[in-house]
Amino acid sequence: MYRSRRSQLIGIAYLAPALVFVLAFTAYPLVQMVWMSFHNWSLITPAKYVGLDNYKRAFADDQFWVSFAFTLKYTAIITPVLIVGGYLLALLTSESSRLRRITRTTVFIPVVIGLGVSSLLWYWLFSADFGLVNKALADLGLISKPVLWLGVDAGRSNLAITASVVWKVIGFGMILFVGAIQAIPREITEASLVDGASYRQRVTRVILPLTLRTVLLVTLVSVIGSLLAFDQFYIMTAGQPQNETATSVFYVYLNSFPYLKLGYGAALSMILALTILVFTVVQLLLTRRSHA
Amino acid sequence: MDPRPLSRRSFLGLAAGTAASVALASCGSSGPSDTGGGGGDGGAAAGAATYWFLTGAPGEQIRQGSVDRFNQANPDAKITATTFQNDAYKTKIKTAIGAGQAPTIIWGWGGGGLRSYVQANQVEDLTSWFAENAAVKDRLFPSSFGAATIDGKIYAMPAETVQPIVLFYNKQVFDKVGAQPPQSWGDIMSLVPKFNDAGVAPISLGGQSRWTNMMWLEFLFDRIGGTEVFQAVFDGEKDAWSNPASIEGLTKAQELIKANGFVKGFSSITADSNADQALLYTGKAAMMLHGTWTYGSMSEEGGDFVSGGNLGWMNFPAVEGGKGDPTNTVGNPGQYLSISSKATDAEKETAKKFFSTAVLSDAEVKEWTDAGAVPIVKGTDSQLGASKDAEFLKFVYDVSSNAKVFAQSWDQALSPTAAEKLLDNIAKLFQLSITPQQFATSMNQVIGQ
Repeated sequence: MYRSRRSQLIGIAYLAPALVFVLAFTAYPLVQMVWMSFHNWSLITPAKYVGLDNYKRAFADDQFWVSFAFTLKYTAIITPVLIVGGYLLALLTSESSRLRRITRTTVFIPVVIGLGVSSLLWYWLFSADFGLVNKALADLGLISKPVLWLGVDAGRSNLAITASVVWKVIGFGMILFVGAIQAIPREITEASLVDGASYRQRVTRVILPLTLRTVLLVTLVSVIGSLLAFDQFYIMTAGQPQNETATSVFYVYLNSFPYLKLGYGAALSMILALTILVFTVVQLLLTRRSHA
Repeated sequence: MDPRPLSRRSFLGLAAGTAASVALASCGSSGPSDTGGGGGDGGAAAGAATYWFLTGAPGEQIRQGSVDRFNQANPDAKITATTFQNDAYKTKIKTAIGAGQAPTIIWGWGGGGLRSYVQANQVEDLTSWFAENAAVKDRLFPSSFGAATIDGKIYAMPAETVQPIVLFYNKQVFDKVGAQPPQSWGDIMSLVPKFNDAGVAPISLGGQSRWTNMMWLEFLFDRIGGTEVFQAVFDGEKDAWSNPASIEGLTKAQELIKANGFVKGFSSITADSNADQALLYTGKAAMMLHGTWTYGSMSEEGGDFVSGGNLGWMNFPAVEGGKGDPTNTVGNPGQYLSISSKATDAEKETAKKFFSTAVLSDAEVKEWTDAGAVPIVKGTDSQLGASKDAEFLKFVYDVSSNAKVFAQSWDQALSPTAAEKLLDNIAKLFQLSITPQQFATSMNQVIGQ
């Protein structure tokens, strides 16, 4: 009895720093946000309790739905590209040779660049007057006059930004896939070779099933990341044209900071957080099933 | 809403700032926090005051210099300064004021932000103090007091420097086409086809940033109907946006857009990246309406464009038949220092002494002019001659000191909510997706908010 209580205390003592950190920087802000979402607060005047008004307003707010739909569309387009593309790159580079290692490193480099920096870089590459993208397309004879990539047409802006983000993050998935593929026991690979499996059969029957958990993990991370997209849109289109490319987080930002409606911004954050929670739970359930 | 410092922010700062915003937006920001290093009154004399202001060269060093000089002269009533980065400051100062923990001296932009402090009874009314200390008031540009005045009362001490918006042009491009700088709105409209025929965009515009479009409306409204048109909006008069002068200004802006006056795809260009300035100094565009703060970046980034004398500038020309005074200008008429109403009497006295003896003292004025800025003090034009940019600084001084009215940028003058609605509608107006009447109807709904 005495010993177990003592060891419990020691355990808690070891946990304490991490626990304090989580409480201070995750639990407390979360509670505070829930509190804020039930109030109208502009910082200067004291917060006023408004009950569920902020949530009711969100559901009647057209721009909220435009942003939400746009974010889902962006996520739906970019996720398959990242997963399939990343996986194909991993298949190409999983076995170690000099050229493959160089390829892997090259594809991975953009991952370590800040998203803000890479967005500004691509803003200039896509510039109608100074950009290299238009120059290259024109020299190839694919376009006759400069294309206005960003901020004029929502679909085209989305395409351009998706391309820049794929360049930026595809290496992340690739590295995890490479790790998973390399972790497949040699015996299994050798056994399938002895059985006369073709490369295609080995990919679909051996490699893919054995790396499925990683695929689901990467999908989960990438879906959450895309649903929280902000930097690239803030920098490259600032939501233009007419807030059609304003993502959900961008709209939360607009409400919380430039408009200083902190309560409303908090309510929108809560809705967004719950949406992401649903996606996460669904995906985690899928992961568990694949494991069983 | 203060887009100006943003346009000069480095991309690293932008990245860090957006990352912080994401973190805040997705986790929710914490409630009122303590005042950080702001409370400098521990153990100090009763009259010790606190002062919060912005970081960043050259302003930070100059502000600190004035505080240091004041503290040396007043060892009994020292001022403790705390500095903040621009975006952090905006949230921090509002949190502190809301929590009753404001510094004695509040640095700000005047206009709509100041109005919200006044409505919450958080800042001192300085009207009678300025009446008693006429000498303090009389040495500053009269136009700088507009953004410090709310409902006829002065709530802030104007400080620091002016940044009017002026019409820049590329002299080489004008020479190539054989055109003269425009003297009227009609001239601008007739220059448009000339430049288009020569394959040069008549006007550069970073339309994605929206407040850039707004500058055209600010001048059109003023030149057509005078300053009272926007003043009526600012004062919260009903249906003020439906004023005939306002409709005419909005219509003229759309005429210019329909005539291809602005660079093709202007709504894809951001001002934050300085891409609009690049169009002007690379000769891809002939004119640009922009704040005088772009002069510095065009000098740095434009090769020998500025130093070679190829950059021309002028105040916005008159509109034919307009009522407005063509000497008027728009932009940042100054920065503003208010006194917290929650401060003790002794602290308030120290702050007032700081205003009358240290703010824009001769030493501070010299530091501003050395840094290539024009302080809001009368008679500094003689000190501008030594600068390598003397000609431009003299022009900025003349425009600012001769302006009968130096209006504050609309997005700064209005409340954050109204300003955001305004920028949204301006984007739609410039994309020709709403008519001037629809613009007015939509904006009338947020008047007085």
